[in-house]
Amino acid sequence: MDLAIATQGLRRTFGDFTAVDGIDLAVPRGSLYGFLGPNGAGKSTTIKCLTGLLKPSGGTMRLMGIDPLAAPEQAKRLIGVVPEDLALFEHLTAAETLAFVGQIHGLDRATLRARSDELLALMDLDGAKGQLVADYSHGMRKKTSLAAALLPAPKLLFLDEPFEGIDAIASRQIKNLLLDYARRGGTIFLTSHILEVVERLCDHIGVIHQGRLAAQGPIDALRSGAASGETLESMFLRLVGATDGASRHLDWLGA
Amino acid sequence: MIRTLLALARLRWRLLINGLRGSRRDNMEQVSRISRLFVAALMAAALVPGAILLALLAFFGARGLAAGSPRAEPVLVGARGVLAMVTMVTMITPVLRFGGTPGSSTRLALLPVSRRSLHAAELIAQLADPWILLIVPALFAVVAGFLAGGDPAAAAWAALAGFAMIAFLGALGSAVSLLAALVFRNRRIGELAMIAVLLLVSMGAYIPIALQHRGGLFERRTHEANAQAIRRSAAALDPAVSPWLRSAPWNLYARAVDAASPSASESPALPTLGLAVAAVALAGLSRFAFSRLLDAPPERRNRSSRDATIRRIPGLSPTASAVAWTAFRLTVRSVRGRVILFTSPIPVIMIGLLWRRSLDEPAVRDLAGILVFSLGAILAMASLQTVFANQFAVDRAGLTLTFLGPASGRDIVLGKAAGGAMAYALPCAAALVAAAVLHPRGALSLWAAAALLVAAIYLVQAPVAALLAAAFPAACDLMKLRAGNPHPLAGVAAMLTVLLAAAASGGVFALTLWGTGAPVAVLGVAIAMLAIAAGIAAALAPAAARALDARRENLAMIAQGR
Repeated sequence: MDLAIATQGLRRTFGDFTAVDGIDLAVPRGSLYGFLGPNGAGKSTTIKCLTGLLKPSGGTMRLMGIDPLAAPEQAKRLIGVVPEDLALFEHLTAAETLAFVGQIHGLDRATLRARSDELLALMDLDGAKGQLVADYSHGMRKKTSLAAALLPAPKLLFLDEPFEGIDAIASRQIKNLLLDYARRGGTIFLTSHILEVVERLCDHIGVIHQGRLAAQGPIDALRSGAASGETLESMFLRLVGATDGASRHLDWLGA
Repeated sequence: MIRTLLALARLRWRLLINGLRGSRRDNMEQVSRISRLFVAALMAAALVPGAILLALLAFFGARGLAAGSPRAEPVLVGARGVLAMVTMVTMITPVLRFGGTPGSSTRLALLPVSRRSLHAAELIAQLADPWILLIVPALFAVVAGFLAGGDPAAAAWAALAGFAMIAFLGALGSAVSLLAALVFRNRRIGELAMIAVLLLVSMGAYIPIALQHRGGLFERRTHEANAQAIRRSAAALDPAVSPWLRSAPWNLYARAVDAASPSASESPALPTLGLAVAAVALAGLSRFAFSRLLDAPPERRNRSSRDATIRRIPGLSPTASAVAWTAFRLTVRSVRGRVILFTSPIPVIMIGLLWRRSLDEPAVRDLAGILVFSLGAILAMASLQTVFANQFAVDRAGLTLTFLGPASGRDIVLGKAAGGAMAYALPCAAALVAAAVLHPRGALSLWAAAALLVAAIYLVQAPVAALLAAAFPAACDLMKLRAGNPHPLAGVAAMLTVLLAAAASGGVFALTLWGTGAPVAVLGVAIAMLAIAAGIAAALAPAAARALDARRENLAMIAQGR
């Protein structure tokens, strides 16, 4: 299988704590891969390792066939990232942020301007062109970060919680954009806590729990292996060994 | 009410302790963190002997006043001075503390606590200001001194005046900090207000000079005329001569204590009451600002049109150019950067004015302009170490964006150096214009030599600052003044580098001019120095790039305050 992301035994520790414990990811090219897990399971750490923000403590990685540890700049030219903290310069405008990213990726001025204008219009940020990111709402920041990730036309897109804090209209636009991107051969690796979105959008999923990969594969294959009619939510809860909370009652609440 | 105050006090304590505790990711970070704590502890420890000394002086002064000793009089003058300084600091510190970013009051507004309690907690919290804590023992020592001198009535008045002074300072700090929070809700207005305050503070240091120069700043005077002007200025600040100064809070306290002594003719009641009324009025203003802060929604939107173009800088890669322009924009747009750029030419202009009046020796007058320019350029470079010595962490979340792109350590280091140079060129140009206008003398080749030597100093400090910024990053926010400082080790080391390089350049300039007497020879030596500096920079830049690459993970986390 032609893989966009391939890891073997990927590990990352912080002192005594193991955040990612030897995971073997296999993300096919052109897929929309949903990376799921409870809070603190290791999703963001995995993305940070894959995107070069954290050095793995062990294991190997390949992004589009390139080892990002051996050739980090070559690998970074192929990827776009929306990290969990959005990673934006507060003192730049959205247009200046895109200009910065475009120039770092070596885009010529005409291409940069054309793509920048299109992205700002699509994200509904063209009305706020003159404002600094410091003055943006959370949703505007997220859209700026997404626009910055898309600008260099990456082959592989990492999105950490892309729909959190985004309004319904922008959410629909972004979903359509991502589906279109995947149809054209782009690969998306996204994390989200909104399982309905993952179910509707993704064709592959991976579930990480306590730093270990609990399951991975095409979403339909994983479903067919489980009890018939199982929703993604039920499957997720089963894989991470969680209860639905019905067994726990706070008797004092509402009394 | 008490429970609420205790809860809020506990919250502040936990925030302080958790802030000190931090986390450790590698050994370098551990060294960095311990050295920060060490500097903070040293500063705190320095306050303790100061407070003890003031308390001892206050005790013996008050005992002397009770005994009617004329030798105790200077203590009152000292008390006026110390209280005036603490009042000024209490007034300015809260403004600098907010520094352009509004604090969050939403959490407070959600609490099931009355506004009166919240406001009381805010007022009491102000009393924990170290400057107020510095004088509290002295105010109590005055009471003890009167008691020791056998004058309980004077002790009672001193106690009342002392409480009124403490209440005044607490209310002043609270009112200013809350009004500042209101103003800083709008980021842009807050930034402008911050710069205006800083400019006023900077200019304030030159009030005595301005008072002396009332006859005309450009007029040349004799030493005798200068001395007369100084005496006249000092007289204008004497409370006995200027009635408006008699009502200043520090004078009200001193008057109350003086009047409490047995030989006084004035009643201590009036100045004590004046101080108490001022405290109540400021507490009312603080309450008003507090209510407005909780009720009024923060304003955020600002409109402006900016050109997003990033031009490639000749000699730099597109990536390094992008980093350079972003570094330049951060310096010129952030509160801290703007304050440095706006305030650094002020001392140069004032020194230029002073020298214009006082330098008589023709040979020195010919060099005055060059000296003013050089001094201005070095001062600006030293001030900008705030940014340069922490050049990676100042980007905050933006540093992660840089690291996510295909930017090598070399590109980032070169881009930062170029961006810093562009920002540094602004105060240098201001210093050059000021120097040329005030002292338009000296050989052109000497002016050129001075400019080249300044460039040489910049070239040497740039990679050193990058190395220090990579080794000792500090989470900071240049949009705020208070949270914008680099790591103390990096700041001090960078400053020393600038001073050493400046001393070496200045020495070579002076020796060559003295030895040859030929300005062209000085220019030749300056060109050689620039070439040597370029060599040093070229040798150090790869080391800085390697240091950056080795510390990327930590830098990105520290830059975001983790």
